[in-house]
Amino acid sequence: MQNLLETNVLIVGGGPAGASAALSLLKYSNLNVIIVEESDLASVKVGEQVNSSIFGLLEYMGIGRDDFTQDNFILGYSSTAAWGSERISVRDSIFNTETESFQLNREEFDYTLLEKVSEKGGIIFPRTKCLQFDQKDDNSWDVDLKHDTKGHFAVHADYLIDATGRSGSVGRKLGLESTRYDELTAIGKFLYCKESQHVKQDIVIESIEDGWWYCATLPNQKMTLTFFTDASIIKEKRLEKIENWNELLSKTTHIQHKITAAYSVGKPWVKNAFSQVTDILSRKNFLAVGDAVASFDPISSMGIGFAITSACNAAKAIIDANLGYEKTFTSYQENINAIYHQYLQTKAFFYQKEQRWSNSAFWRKRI
Amino acid sequence: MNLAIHPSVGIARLGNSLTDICLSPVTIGGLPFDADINRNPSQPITDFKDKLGRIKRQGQPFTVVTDTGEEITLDHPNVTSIEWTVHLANKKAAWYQYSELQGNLLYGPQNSYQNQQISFRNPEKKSEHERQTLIIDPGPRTISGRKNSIGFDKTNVPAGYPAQYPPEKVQFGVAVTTLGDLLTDSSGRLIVLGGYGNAGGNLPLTSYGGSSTWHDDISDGAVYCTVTFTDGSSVSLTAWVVVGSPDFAPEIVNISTLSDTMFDVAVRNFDLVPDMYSNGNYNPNYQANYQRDILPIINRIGRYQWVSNVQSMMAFTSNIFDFTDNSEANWHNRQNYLSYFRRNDAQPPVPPALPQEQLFKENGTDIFPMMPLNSGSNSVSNTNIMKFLALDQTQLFLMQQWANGYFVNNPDYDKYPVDSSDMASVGNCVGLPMCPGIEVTWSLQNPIIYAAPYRILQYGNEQQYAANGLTPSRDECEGGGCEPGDLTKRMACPWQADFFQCTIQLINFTDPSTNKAGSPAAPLPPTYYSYWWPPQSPWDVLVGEFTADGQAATNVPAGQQMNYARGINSFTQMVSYWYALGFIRDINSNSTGFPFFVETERNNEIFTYDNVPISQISGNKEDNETTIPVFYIEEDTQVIKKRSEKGRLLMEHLEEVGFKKIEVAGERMPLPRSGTRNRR
Repeated sequence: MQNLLETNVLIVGGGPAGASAALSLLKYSNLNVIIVEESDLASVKVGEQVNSSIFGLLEYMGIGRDDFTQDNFILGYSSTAAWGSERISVRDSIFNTETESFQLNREEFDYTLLEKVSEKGGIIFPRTKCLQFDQKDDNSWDVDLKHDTKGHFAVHADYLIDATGRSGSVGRKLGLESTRYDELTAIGKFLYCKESQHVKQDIVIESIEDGWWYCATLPNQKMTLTFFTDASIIKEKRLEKIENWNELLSKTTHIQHKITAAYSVGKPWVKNAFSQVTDILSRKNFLAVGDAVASFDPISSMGIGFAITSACNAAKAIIDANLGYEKTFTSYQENINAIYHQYLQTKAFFYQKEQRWSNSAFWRKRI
Repeated sequence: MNLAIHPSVGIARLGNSLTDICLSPVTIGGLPFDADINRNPSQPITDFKDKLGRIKRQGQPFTVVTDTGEEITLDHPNVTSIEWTVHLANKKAAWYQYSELQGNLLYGPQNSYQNQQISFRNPEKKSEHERQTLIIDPGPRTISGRKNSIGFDKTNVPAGYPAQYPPEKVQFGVAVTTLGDLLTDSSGRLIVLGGYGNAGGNLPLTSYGGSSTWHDDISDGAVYCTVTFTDGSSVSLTAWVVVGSPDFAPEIVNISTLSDTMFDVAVRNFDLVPDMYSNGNYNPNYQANYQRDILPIINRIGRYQWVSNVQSMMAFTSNIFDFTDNSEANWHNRQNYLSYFRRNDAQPPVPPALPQEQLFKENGTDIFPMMPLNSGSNSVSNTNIMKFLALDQTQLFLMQQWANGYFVNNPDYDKYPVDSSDMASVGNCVGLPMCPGIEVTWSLQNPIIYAAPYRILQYGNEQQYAANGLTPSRDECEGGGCEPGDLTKRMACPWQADFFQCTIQLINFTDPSTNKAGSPAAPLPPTYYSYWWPPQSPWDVLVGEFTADGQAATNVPAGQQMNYARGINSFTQMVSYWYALGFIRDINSNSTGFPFFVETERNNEIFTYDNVPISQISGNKEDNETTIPVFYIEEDTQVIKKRSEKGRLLMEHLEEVGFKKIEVAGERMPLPRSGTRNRR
């Protein structure tokens, strides 16, 4: 085959999960790593809340706190919620997460991880799509790729990792089975504030009858405002229409107040936010990490932390398998399942704190 | 020796380049010219934009010519001096709201603005004195000698002139501070430059007519010239100049141009071609010339395809029979062809004869759109409806002569008695439809504003203007002539509002008495997708980016027909980013026969694109595989810079490293497979 690159591990997806898997592999083995990323690294990402345990994880991958500029982690970021009552409270008091939490600047964070991967010898192809995956008799993979401007090439890899996020597009192409636990969907917009306006850097969550609103300030006078609800409710209420979306927004108290000075343009965007776990064991020499193997309700704040831990565990499973140990992939999957079981209980616990609309379609199935 | 200024009505065009200019074309459908160091036209324009991607202002050169065709410049041995004065003004903010054909006195006195109770723009200004302050009137500017220049800004107002400039602070857009500049070239010819395309106001733009509080830097006005000879004698001459928005497809000509309008007015009112028309009647024995009178109309209809999707017009202008054959045997073909041309409505229209309300010609069960397939001058409101386009009366008469066999096919035809540069300048403007049009509007169909064929009648003089200023509400269509600012005052304010909204119109074709119905008023179904003036405001264009890097920026392969204004999604964005639009240019112009028009010089870096999967709207994952390209301008420019700089550098670095590996590993890249996920 023409333009064929050989590697030990091919990772599809250059987000935190993919980059973490690469970093772990590069630190703890001599395996070669290639990351293929579909985007041009320019898409807007919404920041997330993380707790201090992230620094331990980063250290494990060989990244110190000094590797990040200061604005990667904003400490003491206020996070409040009106959940279970009209009154607004500090979010930690409701969702009892760990005390020291940070707001993560996802753009900077993702760039830093990729830079580290590249520094440590990992090869990264942005703007590159996977067209086809063929597994050979020896369980290795032939993958056809296409770069936006450079065209076609191919990679032969011993191991394949799906780090494509919620879409789990590699696993989907390979026909893996997933179990989905809900149909939570995010429908949101970016908001802008004028230079002159002072915007309080915080996150506000507020529940209403049909779901819950999430508003977070981003760098550069930007905010993200998202409504989480079920796909069926979006469809039924036609929430992709701005006037309907606005009507639900008008049912909030705190969020409405928060965004009075902001303006926005265009129709809302829609993104999946469902809870789902995937079984990877039907394929050999294949792993999925992060949202691609298990995705969580954003109320749980588990996304980034899980992305990194699962990636480190996946890297370990591959390194060990390569050394001749058996069943390393099986124990990886068992670990995921255990985490997921725990998560489902936590999620139910969170939602049960909101009893005001126990008859509404959204809350009924969650509490 | 009789002298005259040509062109009689010059056309300059806006541009936002602070450094570069080009010069107006000298033929209908010709390209503008690059200006050399002497400010003379050197060659057909190389780039419409400067190095920073800003549109060059298009200057209109004016020349003094004898009736035998000899040009008089400072280089002439008998000439001592040539002094030019130009008075530009913009009266838009002081005029009435644009209300389609209401106010057009060709429809009779009952259709006057007052009788139709049309309100003024900026109605809170009541008295004549207050309303006069709405005019942008920098006063006249005078220039002479070689390679001089003077601006229409505040610092050069003639002493004692009651000049008016709009507010310096605006909430939206950019405040207007000048209407342009005058230059002289190395031989003392005049070049008029218009504004920079600035427009500003304090109210949101909501309609194609614009909004109160807004001003733009479009203008028009009188051009005066005094030539003094060595014997001490002197001659004073006049002309007019109009500043229009950029002509984004200069080689594509409107089916009925402003030259056709002026010709039609002159033929029917000024005895321009007595052999064709005299004493109120066309001469049924008049011999048309196919090359001069018919072929241009057919060619213009045929070339619409490069800026719009009107397949029926392509079919109509293909070589279905020999158009040049004037024999009896070809009579039926010609008559049948003519029968597809819509006839003119009366003004006002008199039912039941309403030819311009008829979309299709029907023949049994066969239907075909009548020609030209284009919006008429009022497919918008329900007063004075004129839904679809018809050629002007003289164009239709000449088509009729052709169909009847009264024509010759001789390329060496006698020209009409109009100076060719007088025809060329206005021949590159919209003549029909006028709703309002983009450079000027239906007042130019009214013979009352002309002094002679192609010459504007002036009201008052500079002494009067200096004493009293310009009049805010006098309607020149009642007679007496035009003041500076009168030709452009009916146009949208700002022009970008009309330019953003008016390329396409959905026109009801079943009810001759209704364009719109319901609340809010919307085109009454069923409708037909019709164009306004795509040669000036293109809509469907072939993307002409032939490099891989360029295509990465456009997100479109070359040869795909795309929406011209893609990425400009609001009035406000058009006010800010009109200059980012591409120019449609024939890139096969040096080879005879067939043009190849593509979009060039679009400022792609201003636009962001996304390929949005249908699943994002439908929520169905199965719909992931089909995407729709979406173009937009990133609102927060800070974010663009920050993100794209870092993200782009990182991407480039990673790709460089990665593909170096491939170069080492492999051979050349194979060609991409065919096919695309993008559907339009």
